[in-house]
Order: sequence, then structure tokens, then C-alpha cells
Amino acid sequence: MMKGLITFRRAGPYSTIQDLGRAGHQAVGVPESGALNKYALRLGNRLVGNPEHAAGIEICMGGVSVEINDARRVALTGTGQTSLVISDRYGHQVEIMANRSITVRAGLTIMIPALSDTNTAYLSISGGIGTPQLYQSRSTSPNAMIGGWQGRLLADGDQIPLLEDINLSDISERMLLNADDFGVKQDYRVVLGPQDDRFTDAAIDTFLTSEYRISPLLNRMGMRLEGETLSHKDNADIASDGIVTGSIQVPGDGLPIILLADHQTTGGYTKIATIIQADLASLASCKPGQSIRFSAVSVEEAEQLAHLHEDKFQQMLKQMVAPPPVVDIASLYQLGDTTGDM
Amino acid sequence: MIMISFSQLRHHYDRRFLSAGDHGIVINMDDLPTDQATQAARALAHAISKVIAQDNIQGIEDMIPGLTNLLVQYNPLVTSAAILIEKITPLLATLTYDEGAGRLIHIPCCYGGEFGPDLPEVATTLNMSTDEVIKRHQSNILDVAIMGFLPGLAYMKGVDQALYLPRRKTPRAHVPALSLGIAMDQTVVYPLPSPGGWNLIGRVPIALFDAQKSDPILLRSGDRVRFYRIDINEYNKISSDYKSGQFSVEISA
Repeated sequence: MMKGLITFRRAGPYSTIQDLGRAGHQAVGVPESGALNKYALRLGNRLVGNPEHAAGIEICMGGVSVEINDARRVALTGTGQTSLVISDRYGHQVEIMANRSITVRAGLTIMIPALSDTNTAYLSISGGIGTPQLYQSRSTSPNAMIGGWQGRLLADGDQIPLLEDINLSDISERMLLNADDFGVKQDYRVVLGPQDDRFTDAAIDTFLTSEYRISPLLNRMGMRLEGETLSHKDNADIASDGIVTGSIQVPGDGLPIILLADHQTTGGYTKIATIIQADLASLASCKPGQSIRFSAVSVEEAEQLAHLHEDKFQQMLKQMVAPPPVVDIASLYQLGDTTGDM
Repeated sequence: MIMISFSQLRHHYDRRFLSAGDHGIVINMDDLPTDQATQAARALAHAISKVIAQDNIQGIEDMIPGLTNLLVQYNPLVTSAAILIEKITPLLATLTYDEGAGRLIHIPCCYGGEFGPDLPEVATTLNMSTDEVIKRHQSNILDVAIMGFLPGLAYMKGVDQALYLPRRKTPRAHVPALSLGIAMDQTVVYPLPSPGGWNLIGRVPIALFDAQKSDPILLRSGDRVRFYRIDINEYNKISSDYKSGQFSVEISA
């Protein structure tokens, strides 16, 4: 039997293979990595019948076009408004909304257009991506040049192996009823620290009351913010220490940087606060130019919110239903047949 | 064996536990001198690992020793900061570190030439010959204080004081993999090509990070490292022997 392959006709500006990351090796400098929006990846995997930790494609901004050489269930998540566009070689197209799975036959083109409502979306494929694992994970960390496909961003023409899909005939297509709670957010809750005592009272006040704008300098390592500068009591240097994803680092120029999944494992700059776990995944939706605000909660509140957020996600998963048939699905399936793979 | 205990950690310190959100607690040890704090952070990570192995703590995802603290990353759906602090506090009272226990790793280095483009400038700045720089760089056993920045990158402390220099004013956009750089009291070897601001004086013929190996990382914090000088012919030979599995790094106790 032919091995499953996904071919990138257009890879988009910043697409990578991601799963839930490789925590546990940061002490030797290996970044945790993993999907920026873990909820969206977990959801996508559930929609196509994969385990939640299976690897999918993280897409930034959109403009991706792929083709798969056998029949697969696919789903687009992390967005509420962008649809998959599936087309055959004759140019017949059908749009499939996000947050549902669809069976796509071999040789059809699956296109993810420009993302309108978010900066990051996920394409999940039944079976999952089958690239080699490093520390039990397939996540790509492009700056460390590890994981994923040759440790790098996906490029036009890449052909990536898929794991076999053993459930295709057993598991039905699925659709989510209400996915909109996981979209764009402007307000982020933080716990102050670990080095909040290195900032002036005025700086803490400014941080929690002013609006910041997301700079175009945005990648999987971090998100630079523009706005009011934050003054240190003395300077921005600390004895280098470990970093968690969501830490907000403030170097000497006084402008905060939110550290994301591919952040360096240790750093030597003061960290004023940390985004709480319940709000972390939403950062993936932020686009350059968008404004965000911070408010402070206690660790105990943050831990409670983490539980509430996960409960809500589990509730949402319970509301998965069989989707209505796609309007012109018949033609889609028939035209798919002309490739002769099935 | 040189056992060190950290008596200060038994006493109350209002900045002992700091928050890294609901995802991390920082066990701060900056009431100790930096070198001791680095060792204490490493010792605590070791002590916590033992407790994890006995199944007495759940929900810890990772531990990252820093120069003066230990970051414990946790899953708030499984545990809480309060539980972890309660479990970790008693460990602080009995923490000891065996200073002589680290592995001693002998790493060959080809100094100067194309591999060490900053060596002449370093020698001029320090007002010594390039040979003297090389001799002094090999003279001390270095300690891997912490790891970070890139997979397998070790911050090795203990460089001869006569070689203290700041980092370059303008970092290079591209430093070749395996370049050896010095700055302050430290040495690093870049495991991968990267931007970097350290003064490059040589290159090593062996990988510090090799994704193909079952244990991809050569060094870890607590290791001791001694560099020894090789020439370009030896470099080429070791480099190819290493790739074909015929050269193994000398590690002594």
C-alpha cells in the first residue's frame, strides 16, 4: 500500500508541524515548543478522530494549499470564520467551514485562505503527521532547528509523511456546535512576577492600565509589544534563569515581550508577569497592530481559572455532532474519483 | 567528595518562593552567593526528581536550574503552587551538593585561524600573545553552570581571570556551529549555527547536540569541562572519526 503523504503546493509564510510539545528537557536547553494554541490543535485532532497529542500543521496568516495522496479526514481549527476550500483538478470548489471534519479523497486540493479572524490556525489530518520524533515529540522549533520536517518551516514542494489512518471507516465526520469562545481576545490576565519587584510602582501601574500594540516582530519565540515603556528600579539584568511560556520579559528598552512556545529556555532579563494558562492559547490569535491589555490575578485565582477553562473545553467537546451533508458533496466525491487512487 | 550544605536555606526568607504564573514556581536562592546558589538549585532539582520517582509529587512538567534559582514548571490541572511549596519546603532544609561528583569531560579544540576569527583581537586587547590566550584557556577546568539559549548550549564558568572580556559590541548575525566563544568568566560552544556576540577563538570537532543520538545532548549542568588544543589536521581527523563513530569523547570521574 502506498504511504500517506501530504504535499505542500503552497506552504504559506510560517507553517510548521506541531503537536503538544516536548516539555521535560529545558534543563539542557531544548525548548518546549508545541502548538501556540493547544486547544485548537486538540480540538482538530478530536474532530478527525486522532489522539489529542497527534501532530498537525500550524498555519500562520494562511495562504496554504496542500494535496494528500490518499483519503483522509481533515479539519481546520483555531478560527471561527475562515473556511477550507476544497477543489478538484477541473476547478470545482466547495467551501467547508472551520471546526468540522470532512472526508477528502485522494488528489483533491485543500486550500486554507488568508485567515481573517486570527493569526494562527491548525489543519488536522486523520492519522496525523508522521515525521521522526525527537524526545517523543514532532513539534518544530525553527530557531533551534529541531523537530518537525528537517527542523525548519515548511516550504513549497515539501512532501511530508502521514501516519496510517486506521479509523477512517469507523469514525464519522464531526462538527462542533459552539467554537466561538476560543477566538480573538484583547484582555489578558497575568500573575505578577517573578521579578515584579525590580520595577517601579509606576511601571507596574502602567503595565496594568495602558494599552499595548502587538509589533510586527512576532514569531513562535515571542511577541514584542509597543506602547508605554516600563521603568526598572535599577536595571533589566538578572542572574540568568528559567522561563515559562507566557512570561513577559522586559529588557532595558522598557518594552514588554511575551515569550511563546519556542522561547529560549533561560534568559537574563527581568520578567514582570506571566500570562495565565487559561488565556495563553488565545495569544495565538493576536495579529500585529492589534491592541491588548493586562489585568492581574492571584496564583490561586489563575489555577481556578485553568480548571474552569479546561472544563469548558471538555463541555465543548461533548457537543460534537455529526455535521450536515456538504451541499455539493456528491460532485466532490465523484470528481475525486477521477484521480483513480481509491 | 566535597559535600556542601546550604544552611541559609533552612531559614525563613520572604523571597524564597516566587510565581511564574500558574505554570511555574521559582525557588529563589539569591540569599546565597551565586556559585553556591547555582549548586543549590541543581541539588534541589535532583532532590525533587527523587521525590517524583517515589510518586510523592505529581504534575511537575519540567525543572530548569538557573544561576540563583530553580524554576519548577507544573500543570495547574494536576497540582497547585501551594501543594508544591508544601512538598518542596522540607527538601530545602537538608539540601547537600557533592562538588566533586560532576563528570569531567575532555573536549578537543582547534584554536585560531578560520575557526577562531576573534583570537588576534582578543590577544591584542588582553595584551598577550595568541599562544598565551590558548594556553590560559586550557589551563582551568570549567564548570557547566547552566544550559540554555539553544539545545545543548552550556554556560561554562571558571575561565582564567586574565581572559575576562565583555561580549562583542555588535553580535554576529551568523556564528558557525561548534564555534567556541569566550566572554566574562565563561566559555560557550554554539551547538548549532546561530546569531551570537561571544568572542570566537576556536572550534570543536564534536557535536554538542546531535538529534540522531538516543541522548542528543553531550553536556549537562554540573559537568566539568577541560579543553585541549589540537591542530587543523587533528581537527579534521577527529571530526570525521566522530561522525563515523570511531572517536568518543573522554569522560573521567
